[in-house]
Amino acid sequence: MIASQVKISDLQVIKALNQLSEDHLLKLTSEMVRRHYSPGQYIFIEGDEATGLWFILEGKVKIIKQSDSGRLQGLCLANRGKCFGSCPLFDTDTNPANAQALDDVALAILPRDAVKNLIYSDVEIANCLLKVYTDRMGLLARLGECLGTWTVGMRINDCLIAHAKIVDDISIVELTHEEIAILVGTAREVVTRHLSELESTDLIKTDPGKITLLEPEIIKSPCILEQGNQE
Amino acid sequence: MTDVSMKILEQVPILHQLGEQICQLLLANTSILEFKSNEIIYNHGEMLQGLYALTSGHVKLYRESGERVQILALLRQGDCFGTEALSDDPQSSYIAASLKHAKVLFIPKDTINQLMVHHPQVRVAILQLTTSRLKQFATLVHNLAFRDVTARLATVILMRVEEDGVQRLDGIHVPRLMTQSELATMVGTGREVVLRIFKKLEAQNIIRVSRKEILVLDSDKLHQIAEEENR
Repeated sequence: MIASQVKISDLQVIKALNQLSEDHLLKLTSEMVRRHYSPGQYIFIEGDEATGLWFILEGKVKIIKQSDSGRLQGLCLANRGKCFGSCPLFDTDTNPANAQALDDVALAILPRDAVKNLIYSDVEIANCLLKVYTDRMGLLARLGECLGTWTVGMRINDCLIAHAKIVDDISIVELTHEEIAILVGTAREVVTRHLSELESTDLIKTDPGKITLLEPEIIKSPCILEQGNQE
Repeated sequence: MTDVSMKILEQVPILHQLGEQICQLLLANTSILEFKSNEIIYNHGEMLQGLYALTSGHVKLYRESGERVQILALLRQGDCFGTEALSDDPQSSYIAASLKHAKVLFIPKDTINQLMVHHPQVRVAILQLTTSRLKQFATLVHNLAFRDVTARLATVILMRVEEDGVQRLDGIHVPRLMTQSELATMVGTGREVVLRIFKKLEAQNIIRVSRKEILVLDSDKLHQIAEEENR
């Protein structure tokens, strides 16, 4: 892990901070530290003391919860521009989940005390944070619905749609079966079985390292995908 | 709608603790809304216009998927909801409805936005409400992902014990608030499964269920069941 200064230009990729003036961004960068993580490296561990808010400048981070028995449940895959980490103001002072770098990741961290001070002193920054937490609330509400009411097959289909990238008019998903299993909250074998069924009916095509969605509209129905879950 | 007095604000601690000056400013534009049993307060996708504070009764926050329902949170007197109204994207990610008859304070977002500009403690309170709700949803996700349905049902019974339980010689008496179907939607299962689990817990002398109440005979054992992570 390497630490360095955060520049205003670094924060241009952060959607949550887009509306802030240069003065506000300067206030933030004066408190932030830039850190780099290698693929597979843990950024923080569930239950450890929360250190602040993390903004992704480059790379992809996996946010996952873990049970006492070691089972994993993915909360999200966060890309460049997204924010994660707990709000340190209140009764939760520990990390609610694990965060792990999926590739080479550059993060800007806003330390816990700085978050508190900025909320008190700056209404614009407080409003930005409110938007961040409100968006996260929506994601968790949807995840609650998925886990409580959807079948595993529906959750896998939804995961494929949510993580599809369009390349030359074709929808491609670059997730392993294991990653899909963690995001959906099931076993890898269940994912493999379901993907085989989809492939047998020509809805997808699987190759090493990628899944091509041949009929995304059919895979999508009857799940309604909300915009917030698309990259 | 009826006029609101300071006395009613006492029932909402997070607002009352903001102090008399701010409470008076809140009261100038606050109204009381009353909802009958199972009446929708706002819908999923609706653009929220203000903050709601529950002064009596219970409110459920839930999502629907086809005919299936997942309750995300059950709110009681003193709880606030609808902080999304204050963010840039005021769209609700769930449905809010009264469980039985409920009285709610409604504070327009313009009133709160004005107060947030000039009073840091209001900013803190709103962020506190948002992150508390976030923590509640995250706990639900954790339970749905890692706890089996018996543990989840035990958790809900214990939550009710804390709210309304009355200790007597024969055990802790908890008035029934929800129907078996509503309980089922809270733990993410079907009504028949809830019935089966009730029978199992009765056979083990942990609870006794009647139409009007649940009698908890062995709360230690119930705690143990609630904490098991079997999934």
